[in-house]
Amino acid sequence: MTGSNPGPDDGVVYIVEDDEAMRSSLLWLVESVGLTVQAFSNASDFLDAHDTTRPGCLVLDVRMPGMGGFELQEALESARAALPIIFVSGHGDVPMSVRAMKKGAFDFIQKPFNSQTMLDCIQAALREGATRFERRREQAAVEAKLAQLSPRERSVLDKVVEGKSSKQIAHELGISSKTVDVHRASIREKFAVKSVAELIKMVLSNTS
Amino acid sequence: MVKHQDADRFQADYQLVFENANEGIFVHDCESGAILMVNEKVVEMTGYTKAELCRLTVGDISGRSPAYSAAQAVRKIHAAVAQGPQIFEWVFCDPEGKEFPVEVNLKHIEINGRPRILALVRDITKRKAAENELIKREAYYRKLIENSADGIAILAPDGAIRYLGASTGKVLGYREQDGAGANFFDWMDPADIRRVKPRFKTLERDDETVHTLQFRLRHKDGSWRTHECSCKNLQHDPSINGILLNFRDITERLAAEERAKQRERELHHLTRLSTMGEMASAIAHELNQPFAAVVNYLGGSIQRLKSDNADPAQLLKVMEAAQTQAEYAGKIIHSLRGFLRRSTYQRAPADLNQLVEGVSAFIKIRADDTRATVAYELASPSPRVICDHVLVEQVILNLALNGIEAMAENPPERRRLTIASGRSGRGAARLTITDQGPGLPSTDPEVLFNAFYTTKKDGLGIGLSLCRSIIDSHDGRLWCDEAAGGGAAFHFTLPAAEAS
Repeated sequence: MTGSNPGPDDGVVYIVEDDEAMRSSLLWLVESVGLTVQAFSNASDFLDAHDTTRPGCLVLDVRMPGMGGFELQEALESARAALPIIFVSGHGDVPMSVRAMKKGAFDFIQKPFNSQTMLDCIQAALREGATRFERRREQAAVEAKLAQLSPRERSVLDKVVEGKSSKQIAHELGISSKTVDVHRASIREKFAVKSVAELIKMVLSNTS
Repeated sequence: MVKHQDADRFQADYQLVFENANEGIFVHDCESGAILMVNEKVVEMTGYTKAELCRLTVGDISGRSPAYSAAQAVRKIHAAVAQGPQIFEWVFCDPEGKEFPVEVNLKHIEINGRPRILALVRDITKRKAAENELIKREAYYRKLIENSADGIAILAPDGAIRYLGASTGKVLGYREQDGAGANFFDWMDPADIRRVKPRFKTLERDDETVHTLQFRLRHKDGSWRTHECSCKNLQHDPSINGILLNFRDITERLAAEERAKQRERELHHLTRLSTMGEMASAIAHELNQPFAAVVNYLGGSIQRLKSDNADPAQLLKVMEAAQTQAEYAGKIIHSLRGFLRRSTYQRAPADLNQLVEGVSAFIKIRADDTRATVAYELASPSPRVICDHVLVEQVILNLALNGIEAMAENPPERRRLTIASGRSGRGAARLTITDQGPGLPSTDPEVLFNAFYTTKKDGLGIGLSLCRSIIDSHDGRLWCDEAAGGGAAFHFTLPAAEAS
C-alpha cells in the first residue's frame, strides 16, 4: 500500500494496477485533487488491506497476473462490498466492457485516458460509493433488528409485510388475534417505528 | 652335284617357309589370275583344300558383292603388274558361305623366269571388328555430345577455341565450324573476362581440380545468357590437349530461383504481418501503458500547479518518470518498425544473444498475456553468427510464441519457456527453445515442418516450415526433439562468424 491523504471522509480511492508506472502515475494524478488514495499492485493485497468501514471506489486494471480484474469484481460482489468499480483496460474491446458493465461495473475506461475524464469519473464513483455505503449501513441495521426477532415474531412480520390483517394472520398461524397484536407491538418496538407502513417500507427496501 | 644338292636343300627350306608363313600366300597367273599355288595358311583361312583352291578362281572364294568378283580380282592383278604393289582390303567367303575381311598385298614377281603375282593375304576380322567398334563408339559419343544440354569446348590457355562440341549449337547458337579461329573470350561479357582470365591462369598450374565458373556469354542471336561452367586443365592429356569446358545455360534456372526467393520473401513478409496482426492488441496494450502513465503524470502535475500546490522536487521526480515512460513507448515503436520493415536478404555477422534480446520484448508481451515465464540461458560470451538478423529474429520469435502457446492449457507452474544459446561443435552456434507443452506428435515429428500443418484453429501452418526454410537458407539446421522434462525442444544452428 502506498500513499494516503487525510481529509473529510468522502471516501477512499483504491487503485489496483500491476504496472508500476501506471500505478504511481495514477496515484500522483488522483492525489493532485486532494483525494485519499491507496494503491496496490495486486488484487489479494487489496482484499487483505482495504477498509470496509469507509466508503470509496475502486480503479481496477482488467488484466493482471494472479487474480484478474473480473475475478476481483466477483470476490467483492460476494463480499457485498459497496465499492463502485472503474475498470481500466488497454484493450477496451466491446465484449469485455459489456461483460464488466453487466456485472455492475461503474465505468469502463480505455487507456490512455484523459486525466480530467478519469478524475470526473472517480468523483462520480465516490458519490455513488457514498450512497451505496449508506444503503449498506441501513441494510445492516435492519438485518441486525431482524436477527433480534423471535421465530414467532419473524413469522408474524413476514405476513404483515405480505399485507395481511391480524385476523388473517391469527387464523393462518392458529393463534388468537390478541397474541398477534402483542407480537406486532413487540416488533414495532424492536424496529423503533411508529406505524406499520414505516415498518413495511424499512423491511422491503433493505432485504432481498 | 653338291651344288645341286644345295639347291634342293634351299628349295626344301623355302617350301617350309612358304608353308608355315603366318600369312596366306597365293601365287597367281599374271594374265588369267588363276590360282597356281597356295600355302597351308590359305587352306586354314578359307576352309578349302589346296586341290580345290587350284581349280577355283579368286571370284569363287570371295564375297558375294560384285566388288569382289573374279573380274575385279583380275583387274587388281593387272594393276599390280602395271603399276607395282597393290595393297587393299578384300572379302573372302568360306565353303559355308561365311564372309570375312582380309587385307591383300599384291606383288609382281618372277618365279623360275615366269611372271607371277604373289598375293599375301591377312585375315583382318578382329581388326575390322575393333575398327567398327571404334566407329560406332565415336558415333555414340558424338550423339551424346550433340544431344547434351551442355556446351563443350576445348580451349588453349589464351581462350583460342581448339574444339567446339556439336551441342554448342543448341546452347549458344554457334556451330562446330564457327569455333575455328575464334576465341572463347570473344563471346564473354567483358565484365566477366576480368574475373575469368585470372582463373584460367590458376587453372594452368593445376591439372587436378575441376573448377566451377559462372559467366555471361552472348548467344549468336545477340542475347546474353548466364552459364555455369566446369573446367579442367587437360593440356597434359594428349587426347584433349587443352582446357576442357562444359558449360550450361542457367539463365532460366537463376530466374526461377530468384522468383522462388522473391516468393519466399513475400510469404515471409506476409507471415510476419499476420504474426503482427495476432499480436496487435497485445502491442496496443503495451503502448497504452506508458502513454497512459505519461498522461497521468502530466495531469497530476498540471492540477498541482493550478492549485498552487506544487513541490518542485516532487514535480521534477514525476517529470523524469514521465520522460522514462515516453522513451519506453518510443522504444516499442522503434523495435516494431524494424520488425515490420521489408528487408532483402543479407548476410552479416551478428550476436546471437542480441538477436534473442531483440525479440524478447515481443516474447514478454505474449508470455505476460498467458502468464508464462521465460528463462534465458544465454552463453557468455555470446556466439557470433553469420545471418540475416531480421529473418533469424523472426524464427526465434515464431518458435518462442509456439512454445508459449503450447503451454497455454498447463497449470501456471508448468508454463516455463527456456531459451538457451551456445556453441555447436566447431564453426556453428546453436539456439534451443524448450517448452513444457504436450510435446511432439508421437508418429513423426517431421510433419510439424510440413507447410500448412497446424494444430491451431486459426493458424496458417506456415510458421515452422518457413522457419526451417529460413534456417536452411543460412546453411543451418532446424530440428526438434522431446525435452527432458516433457514438452518439446526446438533447436537450430547457424554458421559461426570468424572470430574477429
